[in-house]
Amino acid sequence: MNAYVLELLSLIAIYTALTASLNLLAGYAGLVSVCHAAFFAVGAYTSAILSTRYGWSVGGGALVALIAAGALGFSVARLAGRLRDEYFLLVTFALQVVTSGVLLNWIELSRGAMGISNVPRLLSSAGNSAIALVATSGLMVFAARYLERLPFGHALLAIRDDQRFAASLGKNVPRVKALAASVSAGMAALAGSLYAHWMQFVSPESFKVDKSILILSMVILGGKNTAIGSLGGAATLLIIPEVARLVVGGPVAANLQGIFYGLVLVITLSLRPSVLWRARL
Amino acid sequence: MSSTVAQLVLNGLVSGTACGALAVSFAILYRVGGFYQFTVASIYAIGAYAARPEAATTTQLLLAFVRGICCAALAALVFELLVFARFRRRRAPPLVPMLASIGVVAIVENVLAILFGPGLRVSPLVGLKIMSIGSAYLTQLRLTAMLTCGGAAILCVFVLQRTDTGIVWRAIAASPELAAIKGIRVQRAICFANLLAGTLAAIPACFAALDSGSRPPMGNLPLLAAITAVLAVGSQTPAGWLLAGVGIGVLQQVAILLLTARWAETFVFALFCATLLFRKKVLIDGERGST
Repeated sequence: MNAYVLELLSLIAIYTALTASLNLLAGYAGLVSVCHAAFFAVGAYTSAILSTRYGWSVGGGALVALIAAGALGFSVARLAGRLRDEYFLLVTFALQVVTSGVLLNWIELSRGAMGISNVPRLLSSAGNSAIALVATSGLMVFAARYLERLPFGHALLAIRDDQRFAASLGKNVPRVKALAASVSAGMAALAGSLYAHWMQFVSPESFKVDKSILILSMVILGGKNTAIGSLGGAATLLIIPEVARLVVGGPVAANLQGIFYGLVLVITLSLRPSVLWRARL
Repeated sequence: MSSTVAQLVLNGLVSGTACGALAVSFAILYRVGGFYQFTVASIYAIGAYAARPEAATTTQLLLAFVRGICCAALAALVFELLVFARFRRRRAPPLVPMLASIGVVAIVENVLAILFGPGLRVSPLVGLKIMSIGSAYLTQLRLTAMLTCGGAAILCVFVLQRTDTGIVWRAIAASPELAAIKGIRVQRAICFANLLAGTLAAIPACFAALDSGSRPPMGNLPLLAAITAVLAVGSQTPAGWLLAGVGIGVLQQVAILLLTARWAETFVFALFCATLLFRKKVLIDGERGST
């Protein structure tokens, strides 16, 4: 398979996993966040640093990344989970920018804007790496989907639909939300780890706030609580700008991508304002 | 050391007054519109780009300022009519238009990058005459910026607190439905609030374009500082928005003594995060409609 198509497919797989993980937080727990690229970055950088500086294996790095991002997600949700929707969004926005700032400025840790190169490949060949990546991402998407069938998933849906009612049923609302945030952040970190080993290079440029907005746009476009929606949202928002890039070319293409993501947010929300929330309009 | 501190405080007063003006603009839109509009960052950038003068003559500068202010006010009105009025009609929860405003910011930022390029665009050098205030120095342009932004913000606070228009806005902020029952034309009042807020946001933007140039994302950081100011004092204290903005500007500058300049942006956002978490009680209970 052509290297370009392989890279595009791998990116779609990674972003589908990211979309499914944000869906868990926004679609199930009702916590709309714009810091998913920060959790993605925690995973990518943890894996990159552990494998390039300390010679850790891919699995070991991914496990540490998952635990670190899970703990971060849990803390954020515990601290900010009781805020009203829009304030939670603002906290996550600030957290995203702080993370980008740390990655860019803490040069001793992250090598700043130069990024970390020579991250070991997932498996020896590009083809096998792509297969492993797609398989892992697929597993993550279906794990997220399977959660809905567990009591934990039912609790999340109950909380999203009516927090007070869920609390009256004895559900520990802040704890369940924090656990959802932890699982969601852990999944995003795992996707980040895969990304670092696939691209073999990480830099702050890949984890800025526009990436968080892109992931949120994918969730909004794909609709809440569906695995197919996650795949559809990710594929649409990655393939159409790529086609535009091939047609237009040059530096303008990146700006056209940004305009496209913005339009998707505005138009989808205008047409389906209840896309992330229960039908209460 | 003391001269450094004096200089930083003076710089902070200049940037803080601009932040205060933006905070007042943002807060007017929040109170009247009922949700956080990130589009203030786009209005700011549009004002700055439109205000780029061709030459440094006084006439050209005045024309550029008028152009910047008109374009920014018009942009605010267009965003309201094309995007946000629709959400209001459908009674969407505040998070929906807030997310849509993030989409609008992405669109405007990229359109500006395509039209004018993604890099920094500098304006002709103006107002470089330096004045000394104690042991600190200030250019004529920055002094004018501080006085104009401060004056415009105070005027808007006056409009909000002491005029019939302000009373109408406060009525809408408390309950748009009741305001409509009392015969207030809510949508028209919201459009007027957008025009005023756009005008106010354009003033610091025009000075920023002259002082340090224009870049497509130039409104994002000032907006976050402005939101921090509004959150710090709450949405019920118009004079507090301006004062908190000034305080944040000074704090941001003085922080350079402890941190290097490259951490300044991160510091603002960390402060923002801390403000949100610290004021959790107020934010959970909700502020809008409590007047």
